[in-house]
Amino acid sequence: MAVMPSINYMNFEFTCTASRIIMDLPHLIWEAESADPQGQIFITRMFHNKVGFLLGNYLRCYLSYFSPEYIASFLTIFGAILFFIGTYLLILKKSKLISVLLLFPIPALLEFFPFTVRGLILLGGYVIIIIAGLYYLYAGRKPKN
Amino acid sequence: MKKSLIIFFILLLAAFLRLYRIMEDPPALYWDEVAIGYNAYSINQTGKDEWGISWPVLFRSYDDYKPPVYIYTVALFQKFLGPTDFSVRLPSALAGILTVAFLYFLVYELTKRFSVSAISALMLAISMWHIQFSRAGFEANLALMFVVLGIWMFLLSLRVNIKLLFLSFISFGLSTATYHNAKIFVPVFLIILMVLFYDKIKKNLKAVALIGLITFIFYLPFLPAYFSREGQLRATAESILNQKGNLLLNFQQNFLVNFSFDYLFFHGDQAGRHSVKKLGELYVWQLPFILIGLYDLIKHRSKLSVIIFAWLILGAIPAAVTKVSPHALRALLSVVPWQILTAVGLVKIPRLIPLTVPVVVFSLLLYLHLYHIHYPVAYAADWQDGYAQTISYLKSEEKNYEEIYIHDSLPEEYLKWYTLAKSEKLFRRDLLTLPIKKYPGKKSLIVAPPYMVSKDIKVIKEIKMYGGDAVYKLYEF
Repeated sequence: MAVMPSINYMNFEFTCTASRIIMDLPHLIWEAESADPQGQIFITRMFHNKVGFLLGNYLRCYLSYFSPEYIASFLTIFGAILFFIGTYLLILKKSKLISVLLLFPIPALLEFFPFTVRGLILLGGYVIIIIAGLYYLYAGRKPKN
Repeated sequence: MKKSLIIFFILLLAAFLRLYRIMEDPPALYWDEVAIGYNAYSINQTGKDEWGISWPVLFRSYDDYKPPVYIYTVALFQKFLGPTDFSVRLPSALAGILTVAFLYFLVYELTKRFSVSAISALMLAISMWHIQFSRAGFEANLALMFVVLGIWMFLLSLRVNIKLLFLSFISFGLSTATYHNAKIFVPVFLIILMVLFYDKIKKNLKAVALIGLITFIFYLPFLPAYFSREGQLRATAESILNQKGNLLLNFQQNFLVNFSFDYLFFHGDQAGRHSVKKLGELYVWQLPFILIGLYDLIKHRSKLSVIIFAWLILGAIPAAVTKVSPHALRALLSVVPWQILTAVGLVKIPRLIPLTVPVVVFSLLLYLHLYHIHYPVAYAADWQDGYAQTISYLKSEEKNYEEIYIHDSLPEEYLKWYTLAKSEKLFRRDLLTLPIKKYPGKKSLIVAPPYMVSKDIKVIKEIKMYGGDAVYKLYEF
């Protein structure tokens, strides 16, 4: 008997760009609906729909910029630690920079700007949070007598 | 009264989620479960494992040297249930339900607040991560139960009676003999607990030392197994030292990936047996509450914060020191602190609780839909579905054939467990060439996987798995 060559399955590696987020939808919907039992339209539509998948994809990509392993690959492990200290202190001091913290990954998601500009905005966001954190650390220190 | 009713309903929910259709989804016993089942059966029958070693502390099995406690537990269950598939899965499911109960007491001991402890138990009861591993014979799930019980008993012994510490130590010890991840987690965590509660331990230093000594003597027979070559075989084979690239960077990457939002909340462990793959290990709605919980625990530093952070970090270490990371099974011990964090966050903002309920219900229903409808169809192959059907078909048709040749992708343990191994007509072959018949005039059967083809002989039957794909094709010649 002979062994048949194995089939190379399609690789659905997911990357976070706006076009990819939208392009992924038909595949997700096809995959979900083809496995559902026939004749239960309501359940299928409730659990697998465009709005859910789109929101999920955007949320997934937005949150990936706060993910520890992503920040560590972007700014090294020290950068990641400083970023999380900064985030904590911004919230603790109820700083206005929280808006920066929430908004800075959005340009990276939208593909409105060219690639390099998006990267710079992202880096700028991280740096602002880190510097603000360092400032609060310094300002919160009690002077020595 | 009212409180115990709430806990009762949480346990009922946990039991339903873990026991409902447990034999159908996941569709079949995967090969470790079959090995566990057969070894337990063998212990019950002869007092020896499948390799003929009596009362082993390490089961050789597929040369992966399994830790013993889960197998002996299954052997105990088989005394009542007989050597059935159900007997392999039931201990894990029961351990899952008990973990939920123990977690309630553990968190109550730590916080003295009913709301936090009940919500923690509820979160664990509906946790996708925990349900996934409770519904099949995973040793790690039993280890998790022993760890939670051990920590609860530790805290209880400091408050009520120091003698309970003995139970705690026994439980911790059993966890290390149940699954490998506890061997890394328990010693360090125990030291952290000791340091954390040193003020109370100091008063009973003699008793603690005595209990420690007794437990140590109790575990003396197990100790050589931990340090032997066989005992460490699994660790050395899977070690990060064998991974290509810089060791430190690999460790950092493997460690941090366990906290990746993508892994935790969106796609989970990508191994077929470890998650439904379409959802994460935790629900997405848990994220804001986890963040609030983290913030609260950092702001109001207490013993609870130390325990939670130590648990989160140590729970991820077993996955971080191995090649494959993230790994939901090896990091299973860290399923608990995430649920406690969610509970702490939820209790912090009680106004949000009514708003959360519909989201929680919807996400649970979505998970159940994916688990019971999509998952068994898409990932039946990961559960070795079809092997048992093949064997039961062969058993019924055996008398019509002189020889049966089976492709060696079907492990021998399946033949033993489904009681066909003793048949003299049966031969396991790689089937790269057509086997030569002993009795040329008579009919023989070949069982080959669908990726092997031959023009000369004809297919008489296809054995299909749950999703409809063929597992084995049967040829007559």
